[in-house]
Amino acid sequence: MSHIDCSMSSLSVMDYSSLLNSYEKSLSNEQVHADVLIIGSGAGGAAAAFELSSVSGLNVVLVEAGSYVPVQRLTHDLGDMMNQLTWAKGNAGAQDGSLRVLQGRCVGGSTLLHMLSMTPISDRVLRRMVEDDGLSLMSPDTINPLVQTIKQVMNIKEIDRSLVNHNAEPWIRGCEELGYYWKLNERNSGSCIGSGRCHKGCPFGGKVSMDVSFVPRSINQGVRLYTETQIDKILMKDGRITGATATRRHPQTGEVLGTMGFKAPFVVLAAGALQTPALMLKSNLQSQFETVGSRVCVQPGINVLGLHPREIYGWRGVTNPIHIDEWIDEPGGAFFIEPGMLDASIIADYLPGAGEKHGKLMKQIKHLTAGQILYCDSGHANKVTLKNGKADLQFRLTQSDKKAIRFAMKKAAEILIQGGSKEVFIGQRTPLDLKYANDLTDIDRVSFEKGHFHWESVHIHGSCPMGHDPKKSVVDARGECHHVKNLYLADVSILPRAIRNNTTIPGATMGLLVGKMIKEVLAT
Amino acid sequence: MKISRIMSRRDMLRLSRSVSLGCCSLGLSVTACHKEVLEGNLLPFGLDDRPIIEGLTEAYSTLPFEAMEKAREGSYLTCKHLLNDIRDEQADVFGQISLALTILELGPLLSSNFGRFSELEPKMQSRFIEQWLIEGGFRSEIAYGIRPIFLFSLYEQPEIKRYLGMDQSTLSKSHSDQKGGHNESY
Repeated sequence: MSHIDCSMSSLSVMDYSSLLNSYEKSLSNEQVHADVLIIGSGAGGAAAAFELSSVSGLNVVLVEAGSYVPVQRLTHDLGDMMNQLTWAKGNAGAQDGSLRVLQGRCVGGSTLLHMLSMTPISDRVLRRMVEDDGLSLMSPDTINPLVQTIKQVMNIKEIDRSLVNHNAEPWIRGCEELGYYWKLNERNSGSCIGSGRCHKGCPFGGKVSMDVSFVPRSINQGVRLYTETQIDKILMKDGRITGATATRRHPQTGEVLGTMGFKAPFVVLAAGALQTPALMLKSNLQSQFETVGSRVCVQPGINVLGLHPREIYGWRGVTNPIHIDEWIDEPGGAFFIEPGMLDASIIADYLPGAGEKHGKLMKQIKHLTAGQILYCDSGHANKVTLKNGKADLQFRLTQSDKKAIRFAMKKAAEILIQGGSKEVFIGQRTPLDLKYANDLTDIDRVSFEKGHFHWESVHIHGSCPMGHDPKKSVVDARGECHHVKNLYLADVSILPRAIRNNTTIPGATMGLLVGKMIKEVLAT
Repeated sequence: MKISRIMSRRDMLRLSRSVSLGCCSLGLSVTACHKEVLEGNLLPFGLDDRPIIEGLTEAYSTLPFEAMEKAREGSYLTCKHLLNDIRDEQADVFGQISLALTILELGPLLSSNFGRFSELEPKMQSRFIEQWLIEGGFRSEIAYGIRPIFLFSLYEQPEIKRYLGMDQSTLSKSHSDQKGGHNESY
């Protein structure tokens, strides 16, 4: 593998902005020619663009459906940020409302919204991909150098213990009392001041997301970026890719500003685990074995809150400073826990009751600590389809999933009670109010009936898996689609199994890996 | 399931004359309205202006631009207008749930401004909410949508955030300040 110079020489945000302005003017009805068209500027697309930008003379175009939102335009207004930065105003996922997927729709994608918790695919999981899935390229020897590149470009480092906020302390205390393993997170933070606004884009420039790392480096090396340009259809002729058509839309009103055409012999699709299969389905690129979108690891999140006797001010400080990984290899169902608290407007819906009862709880918000259980499902029961022309996630839990989730809830509640919480609330609509360790048996009666839980997903992956067998996978070991020549997928949708951690580094890893594979093809 | 009416349409319309609905779905803030909330003239409220029958995510994934613009210009959709547009009885109940939620949620926090809404018997309010929302009774899809939307619009109001102590207008530039300025162990 060749070395890539990751140093950022003199490209400032202002330079970047002026570069972008060159391409943000209306280019309606224009035909754009490229050697490689990359769809999506999130973790995978930006990394693929960066990798391919190192090929001298290669004409690379990067297309993003959302806007470029510079740091100066980020605010603390959650509604405004969901409006500007996400698909479906933060409510992508299941169209019946049963599960919400937070997915970025802006230059840099979901990396603008994530909580800076950066974890690569573990060597343990990589070895399973090699040994059980037969994917030799997913070996630690191949993947770990790519991870080092990502860590260097995105300034990823372990957080200092002194910066762990008060929200995490009851969780740490509970873990230490019970002997459960927790660790400090590695974060892609630049000048982080601990404002606790990670989930709405950092207005202080404290987050080294894709828009300020891989994307400007790619542009500096000649990649052209088109924003507010939504690809409608990928085009194919005689089984080979020819390009794509797109619509330019006003970012706020959605008004159609014009159409564009892209001609390219290679297309890299990196629109994320929901939008990648959705675009393939819209483009009639489903395989004869119906593998596109056929299996999705959702990693559903369940929110847990503890009411502590002392004031905690849980929303202050670094949002996700630690990981509780005690059960990451749990045979009955793996999960991990990330302590972190968000805005009152989000926390409110995790608390039970209505009216005066609910108001009394909200008045005690300074005493609340919060965290999220992330359950590592296998994905076999889930599916991405199209409904009304948009991505729709069908989310199902098996009986063993439900059993494992109940176990996870008990563990989270146990940690909080041991850590000093006098009451624990598990984010669901039928009240589950736990005060003592003996109350944990109430969790056995938790219903998973539709509507009873706030299911959320921020780490969805695996909807177009990599594999050797076209009957069970969408892309081969190099990321090329089995049934469409020169169509590559380069995001978390191609991960062949549940990865049991966050998805930014894995997404960027897939981008770099597939970029290198395309370079090898081009070299021949 | 039988729908039992706790609030008559006449009561509903009587209330609607003193209730205006701001426009808000998840992703919008009713920034134009919060002053009127504190003065008791308006209840912030999240609702798409179409009947919400066929999938709530559709309701709050579409952006009612016209209504948003009207709200920002100072004119508002009225509940009466909404009810006239709704044909289905179930959506009518949805409107009732929303108003009842509004009354209950805001009452404890800003009760001095909402004396007129205390005319509704608390027992009636509680029974209504218990039946339709917390027990996931009649329409769990309604519970999905209205509660998070409503609570979002309520707790995004700057005055409510200040009331709870979550105001970040004096955000300082250091980690120690962000942690709360104290180092007690937990």
